[in-house]
Amino acid sequence: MTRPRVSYLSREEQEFVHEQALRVLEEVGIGYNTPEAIDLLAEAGARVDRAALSAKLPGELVQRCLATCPPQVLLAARDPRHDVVVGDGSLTFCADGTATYMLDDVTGRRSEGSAEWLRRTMRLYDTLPEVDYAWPTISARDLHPLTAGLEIEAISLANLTKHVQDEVRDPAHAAPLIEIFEAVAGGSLWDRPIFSTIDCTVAPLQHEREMTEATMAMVRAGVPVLVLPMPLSGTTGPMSVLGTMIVNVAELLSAVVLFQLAQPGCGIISGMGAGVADMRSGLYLCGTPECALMNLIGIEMSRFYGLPCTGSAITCDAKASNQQAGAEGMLTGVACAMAGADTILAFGCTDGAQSLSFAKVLLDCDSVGALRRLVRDDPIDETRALLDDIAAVGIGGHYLGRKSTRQFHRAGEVWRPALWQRGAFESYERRPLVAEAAARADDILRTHEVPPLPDGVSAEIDAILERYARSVGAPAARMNWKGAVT
Amino acid sequence: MARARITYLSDTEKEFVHQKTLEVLGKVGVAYNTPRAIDRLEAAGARVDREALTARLTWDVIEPALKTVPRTVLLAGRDSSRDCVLGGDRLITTSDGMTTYMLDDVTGERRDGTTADLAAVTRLCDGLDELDTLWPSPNPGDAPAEVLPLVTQATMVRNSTKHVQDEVRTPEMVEPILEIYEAACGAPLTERPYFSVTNCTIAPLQHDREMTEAGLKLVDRGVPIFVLPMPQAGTTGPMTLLGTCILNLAELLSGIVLYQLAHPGCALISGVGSAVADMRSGGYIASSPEIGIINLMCLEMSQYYGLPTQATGMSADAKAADFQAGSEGGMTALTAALAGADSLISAGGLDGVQISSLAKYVLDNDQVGALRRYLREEPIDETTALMDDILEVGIGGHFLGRRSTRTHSRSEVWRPRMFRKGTFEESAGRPLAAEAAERAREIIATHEVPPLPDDVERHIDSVIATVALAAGA
Repeated sequence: MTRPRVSYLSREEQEFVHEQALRVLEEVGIGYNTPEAIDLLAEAGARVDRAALSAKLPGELVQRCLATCPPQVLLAARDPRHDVVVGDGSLTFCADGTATYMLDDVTGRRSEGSAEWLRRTMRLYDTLPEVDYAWPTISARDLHPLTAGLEIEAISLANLTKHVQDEVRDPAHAAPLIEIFEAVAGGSLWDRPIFSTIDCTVAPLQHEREMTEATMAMVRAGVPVLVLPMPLSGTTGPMSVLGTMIVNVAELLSAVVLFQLAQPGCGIISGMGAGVADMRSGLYLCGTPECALMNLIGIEMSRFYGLPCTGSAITCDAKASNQQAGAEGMLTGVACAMAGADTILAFGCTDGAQSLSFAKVLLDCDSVGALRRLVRDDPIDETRALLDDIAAVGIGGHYLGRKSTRQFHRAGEVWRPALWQRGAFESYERRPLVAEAAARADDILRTHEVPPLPDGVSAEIDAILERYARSVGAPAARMNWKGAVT
Repeated sequence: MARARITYLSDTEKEFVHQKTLEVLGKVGVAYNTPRAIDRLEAAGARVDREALTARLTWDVIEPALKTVPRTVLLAGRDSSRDCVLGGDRLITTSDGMTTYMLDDVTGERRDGTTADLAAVTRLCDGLDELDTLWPSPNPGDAPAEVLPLVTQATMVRNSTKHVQDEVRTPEMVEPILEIYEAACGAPLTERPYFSVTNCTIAPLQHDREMTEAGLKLVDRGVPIFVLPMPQAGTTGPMTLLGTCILNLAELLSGIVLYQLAHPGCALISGVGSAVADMRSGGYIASSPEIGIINLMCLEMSQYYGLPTQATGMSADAKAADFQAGSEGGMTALTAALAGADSLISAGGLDGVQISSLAKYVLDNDQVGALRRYLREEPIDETTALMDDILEVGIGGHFLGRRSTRTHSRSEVWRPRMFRKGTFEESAGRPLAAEAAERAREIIATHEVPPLPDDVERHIDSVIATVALAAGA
């Protein structure tokens, strides 16, 4: 059996990256920015600076915390048939985020995201088998800012029967969210973690107070965490692929230490958010060859540490679902899949994840299908060599009538795209690919129904949300998670 | 030093594929379809069938042939500034060849290609700096059939100084074509191989008489040959990728043996043309994950045999320079390049290389640029890690003011020419493909190719006129 594999760093080079990251952690340290973290770190033997809320981490502490990270992480789903185990050797694809705008694929214009767009997005993901789990891809900008953090997750879970992964930005959201998730899971999140949280570190070498406190609360309730460092070469990271990834790895390890101290054995997934700053506009670039190399280093280092990982690929800086978008997606996607990423982020984002395109969601499904075929484990043996057929057909002739042709064709030797246009040119005249993909998304949304949450659960979420709204002085009437108010 | 590298077959698996390939060559054999080939094979000890014009090849005939194939191949330009070495450190890229149609990138319509289109595309490719060598496209459908190959070559040498790769389908065309190239570069091709050819075998296990006889003449004249087997899984090849690759390799080795016997030490390159058939339409699928795997297997086996390589790169089945085109090309080109292909066919073709798109040439130029950045070998040490900067900037802060940010930004981060960076607003209302087509037209209008001397121009015209006259045109 064989499958294509890509390698970048040698074992010695991986050791080098590890040593440099440790050097950063020991010599410079990390700004944790919350006394809650500093207390734990001081107790574990880190050299802390209480005034600066920073800590220098000895290598021994890092090793100790890495040792308690589980090699596999269950990401449970509302519908258990969609459960995913990250790190079990399977390759999964998660919908990316978080876009501010919705792109109209036909006019090329964009508009602000809304609760309704989020609902539609999640319903679309629910029906697509290529989407294994999802981030709430688009911001619901019309929700009340005080309750949006809770409502977004309620909308996601109500419209998607797959696992949901997102940030929790405010520690005050942790308790009500845990209640919501437990209501949907029908029990403890330790058994059925239907939600995992994303912890973005702040480059260089910092943690944000609020998100860190929220994440600590979440891991203590059995919620796995995706650690997502995001240094950008040239601004928040040094101007080299390697240097940026050393900062990335140092931040990753600093989160591993903190969350393993907060909740030993908690599930941690290593995410790759590092990118390149466009030195003209200062914007984040994610589809460049440098980002692809950063992913390679990140995946290899995650495997070096035995951490399950999520690559950031099949993403793009292109402004629409055009040739650039396809090229950038594969530039990052091929290597991510071949390097052994456990999950790859994909589906729909354009313009450095600022806009969501439904056409691209559908087109990316074909990219994902192609990638899955490309990295499939296939036997190299007599059964596949078909020497008997080659000898029987001999010189000249053809293989159309061979039994093996029918048999292997049916068995999926050749992958078939759903939307990509193959065959006669004439059959596609005046059918631009993007318009077809956008129309396909509309069709799906017209017909696909997501099983509703049980009434009791829905009422429980209402009660949790109302209680929270009252406690922060938000008008309960503005609540829009069910789409009752527009 | 780090460089991204893809591997597929294990050593044991390579040995298995090798043995199966020998089994095909030894038990089934190959039809060469010309006594000129059979004579040479018989003299070398192959078991031949003079009536069927076939031969069975064993390792004792194949191995010595492989040993005389040079590892690197000079692909000379019209002048030496455009010379490339295939098989050296640099990935060589070639434009897609032999399309039939031109696409209107704005309306989506296609029409038959003409000599004027060929001239325009050639001039465009001459001006795209990520493309090293050219394969004529589109076919000049308006040229008289009897001199079409000559009009094609004349158009190439007049509109570009880059190396040209093409087919020579009949032995009669060898001399006039070579005369055009030798006149244009002012040297015999044995010294300046300004022209190379692809030799397509005919799956399963056959050689075309005329093209093979042309090939036998060409190797004597110093023209490198890309041996290009093209079995398609499901029709002219067995349905599995492995079986199709074994057939590809058997045909490849049969070509290597023939041309090395004809001219020991002649330059030969393993081209990977195998593909899969669309079982619904019977058509050829040019780009798919299966092509990625076929490329991987055939490239690894060609490396195993010590042969320089050319892979199918950015080809697309897409009908326009759209998302699918980028995705298909991105997948196959990256896979082949990271597997160590020495050269890649990589620009301009759509719809299974039936259509040329001006936009796609320009956008593929960016895709190749990105690929080259990806492939670059980089030191992994404290200097490239910028450790001093990381330690000094410390917690918080930024790297904008660092001297290394300024000095490294150009070399570290690849810059596209057409791909969009920057804000959404800057790109609003400017569709990428339309703008790329516009850029292509601009290059065609303004890019200057040094003209050929008048006497060379006249000489080329007379070569074409002589052949036309002889053909009674």
